[in-house]
Amino acid sequence: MTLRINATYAQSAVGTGTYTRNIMRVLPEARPWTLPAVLTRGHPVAFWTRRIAEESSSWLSGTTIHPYWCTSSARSDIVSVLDFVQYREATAVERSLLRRATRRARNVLALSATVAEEIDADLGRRGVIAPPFPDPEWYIPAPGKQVPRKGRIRIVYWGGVHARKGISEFLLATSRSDMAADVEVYCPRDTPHVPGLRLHRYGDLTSKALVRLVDSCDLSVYPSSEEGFGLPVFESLLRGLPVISKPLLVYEEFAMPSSARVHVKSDEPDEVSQAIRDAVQPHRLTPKMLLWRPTQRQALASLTQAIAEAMAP
Amino acid sequence: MNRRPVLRVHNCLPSSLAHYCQSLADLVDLAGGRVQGVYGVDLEVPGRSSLRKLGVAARILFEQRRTPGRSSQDRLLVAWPAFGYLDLILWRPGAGRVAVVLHDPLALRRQRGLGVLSRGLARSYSAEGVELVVHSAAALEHVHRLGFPTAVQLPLPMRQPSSKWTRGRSIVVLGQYKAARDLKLLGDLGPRLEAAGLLPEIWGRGWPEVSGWKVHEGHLSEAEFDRVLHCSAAVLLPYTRLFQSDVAVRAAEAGVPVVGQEGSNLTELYGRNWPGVVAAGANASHWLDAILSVVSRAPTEVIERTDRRYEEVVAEWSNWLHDSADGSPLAEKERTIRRVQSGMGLRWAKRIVRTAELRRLSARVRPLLHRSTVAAALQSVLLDRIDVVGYNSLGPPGLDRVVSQTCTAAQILEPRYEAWAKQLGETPRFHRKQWEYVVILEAARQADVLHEGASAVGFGVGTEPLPAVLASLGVDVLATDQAPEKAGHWSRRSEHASEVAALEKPWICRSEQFYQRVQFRQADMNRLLGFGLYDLVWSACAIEHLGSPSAGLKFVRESLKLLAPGGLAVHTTEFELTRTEKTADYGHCAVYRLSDLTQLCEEVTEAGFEMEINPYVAFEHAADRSIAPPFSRGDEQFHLKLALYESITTSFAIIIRRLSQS
Repeated sequence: MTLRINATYAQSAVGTGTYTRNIMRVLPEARPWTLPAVLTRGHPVAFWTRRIAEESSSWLSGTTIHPYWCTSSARSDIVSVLDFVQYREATAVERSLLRRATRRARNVLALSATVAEEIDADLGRRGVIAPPFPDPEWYIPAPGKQVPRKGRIRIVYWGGVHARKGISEFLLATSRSDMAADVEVYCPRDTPHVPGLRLHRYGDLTSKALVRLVDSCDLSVYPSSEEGFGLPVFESLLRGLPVISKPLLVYEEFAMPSSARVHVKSDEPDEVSQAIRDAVQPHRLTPKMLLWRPTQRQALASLTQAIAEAMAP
Repeated sequence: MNRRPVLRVHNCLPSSLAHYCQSLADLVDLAGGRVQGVYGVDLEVPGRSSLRKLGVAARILFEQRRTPGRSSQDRLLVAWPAFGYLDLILWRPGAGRVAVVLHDPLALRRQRGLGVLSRGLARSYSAEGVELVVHSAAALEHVHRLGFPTAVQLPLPMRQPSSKWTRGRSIVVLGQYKAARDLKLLGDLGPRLEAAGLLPEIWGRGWPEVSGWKVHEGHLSEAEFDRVLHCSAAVLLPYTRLFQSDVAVRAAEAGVPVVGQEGSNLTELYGRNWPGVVAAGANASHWLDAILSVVSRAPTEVIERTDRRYEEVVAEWSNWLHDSADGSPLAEKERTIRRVQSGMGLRWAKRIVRTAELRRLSARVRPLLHRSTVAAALQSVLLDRIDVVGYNSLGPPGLDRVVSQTCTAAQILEPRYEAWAKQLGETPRFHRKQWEYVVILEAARQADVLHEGASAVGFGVGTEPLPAVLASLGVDVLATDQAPEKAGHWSRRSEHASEVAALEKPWICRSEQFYQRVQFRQADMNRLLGFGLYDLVWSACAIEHLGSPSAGLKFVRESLKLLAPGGLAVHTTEFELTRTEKTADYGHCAVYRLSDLTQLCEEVTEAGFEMEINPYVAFEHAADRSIAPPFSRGDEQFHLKLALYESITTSFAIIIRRLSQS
């Protein structure tokens, strides 16, 4: 029997790609499924389809990629609604396609309770919560940071660089703050140049290399204004790194140690510099702040149940 | 019992290709197959109009319906494509496969169906199971570049050589006049041949008067052709551009020596060190030397060489004939590539994309454009501009033995490459920047300068990862970059280093080790002062930015003075893939031609250094055929070749070694 999983994508396949890749890791090795990709924020041209195919080629080998308009007719057993934040910005046509796909699917997976509630309200389906979990490399024991590093404060960011992620504004505020000379920031290659700030751009790092980079830093930032889950925040905590982020409900949902998180409500230079100072206080540095086992167990249980239901006659 | 594979031949030039078809029939017979009828509409009958060509098209459709292949092993070979590339669309395979032989990918004389539009249509709409066959390595390279990656090369059919040569005094040019004939060369050569006691003669129709040559104007019958050939001292192929020559094959069969330009099938016929192969662009005195050298050869030597080739020809045709249609790797490759390929090479695409090239487009629109169908269509226009005929004689370069070589997809697919990419913290990408780092590291490894305590100096390092990698391997590194006040846009793009911290890559090298091993200083690459001796000197895509082409090459020469005995210099740079009169100089960037690098090679070799060039330019992989457009942000899936102003470039690694004892 073939199990058809329908993954809904936004404009980028990076974060959602991690999620789907990890779903595929826990599913049976024989791969009795196909994965038609849905682009909820797609365009009626092949551009996004091609981009998804390019970015995902390493882990989607053997999977047929369909453009999003095919998915309305491709009946799925499971629809995983990954990036529901983007759904709010979707066009009427895109929404109707997703509605149709979820209506016909046996199960709908949601990243978090926040997303599940939104699905329920907008699509009339109750989503099963199956949170994401990071790659195995992130579970390698972290070296621990009992003593603050000497030299400049090293900040790391990984994730998209588009407007919703808020990284450009954060960097701009940092460059205008009194901490500008004391920090250096590691961020993705496509991050815009920020005058007055020491920026180190990195390319397409492997998961292992990214973990090594994170381990060498003092704190991470994830100033996204909306998140379905916010995987990098969890990954930072897994490596024992304090995080500066916006106060989002979804972070509270999975029992994250609040002492390790520093919230910034706005991108004012003063608030940002204070947040950086707070984050590097010695009491925030612990070897490992999050053991992700309960979350992972919950995800696996939800997935196993969804697959069993989908494959039942 | 296995059924003999059947080859049907469609030949619409029965007179011109008579020898071709007869030799083909003999070869197929030897290969265990059989030729079932040679048929076709005769296009050579005088007075046939264009309307008649339409009749041919209708006849083709009729013929292939009437005689479908009976098994997947049966093949139809179209010996001459009446409509050029469009024949790839016109022919539809039945049960078997269709092979369309393209003798000249570029028209040597006026021929329909070889234009950009026909090529674009053929690329997009040719049927699966229709394969394009060419007869020389140069032609294969050309069609690969034009976007026909599944084209196959088969040798021109030939018969068993037997010496019928009665050495005369005539140096003959055989065959009709075409625009690609090099009249200037003939004019220069004629008097010199006469002075050397030889008789220059031209036999064929349509020839004008050529000074110093006796022209026998008119059509040659087969018997006359043989008579002239057997009584000549040598056959001359005076072309400005030639893919392969049927005359050369016939001369080879008769044991008559041939002189022609490199890049044709001459090397394949007579072997690599045949003195009759003249370098591209050689003058009349070089041609004269080659002629005098071959006429002194013994007939037995010529036959011995061509005999070897004959055996290869039989084997290659046999392999092709017995290669089944569906399961062959070629069929699989074809199917895969067809899925990937898209776009048509239309001229309007160029205009649209040129508009996009204007820097007014926002960063959001540009990526959308360069991934669009319009950009795909631009590819064929850009590919058309590449001219690297004669570059590929040494075969594709690999990472097993790195010499001065170009960036190719095949190297990126090697396991050794993956290991270095891992060291850089990345996965292998089809990106020339990553290739540059890897080739520098691999060349250094092969030169044994990557050991604990070795020393290295890098120029124009920017924020590249090489200092970190070298430090992680125990090498002491001096990284240099220009002064911040001169860095300009490099600084704004965060691609300039003004302190050692800018080079730290925590995912590659531990901080303590990095700061222990790496030092930084500012340095002007145009004035190398205050350096010692190093085991490794490198720069990655920096020498072309030194202000002028000569400044870049001067730096390379100067950098050799910093090499310790046994040391290695590796400098990567831009390599010109179009044919230009002089080295492209765009002010802030130069693009070096093969001749510039060859000259450098001669100079440094004379000075006692070791340098070997393999200028092979690949088109085998989809990444090799993709050219990043002028508005590229460098984040395409394939970024090995690049359109840079008027140039098409790829990366080239200049690798020079100082000998241990020098």
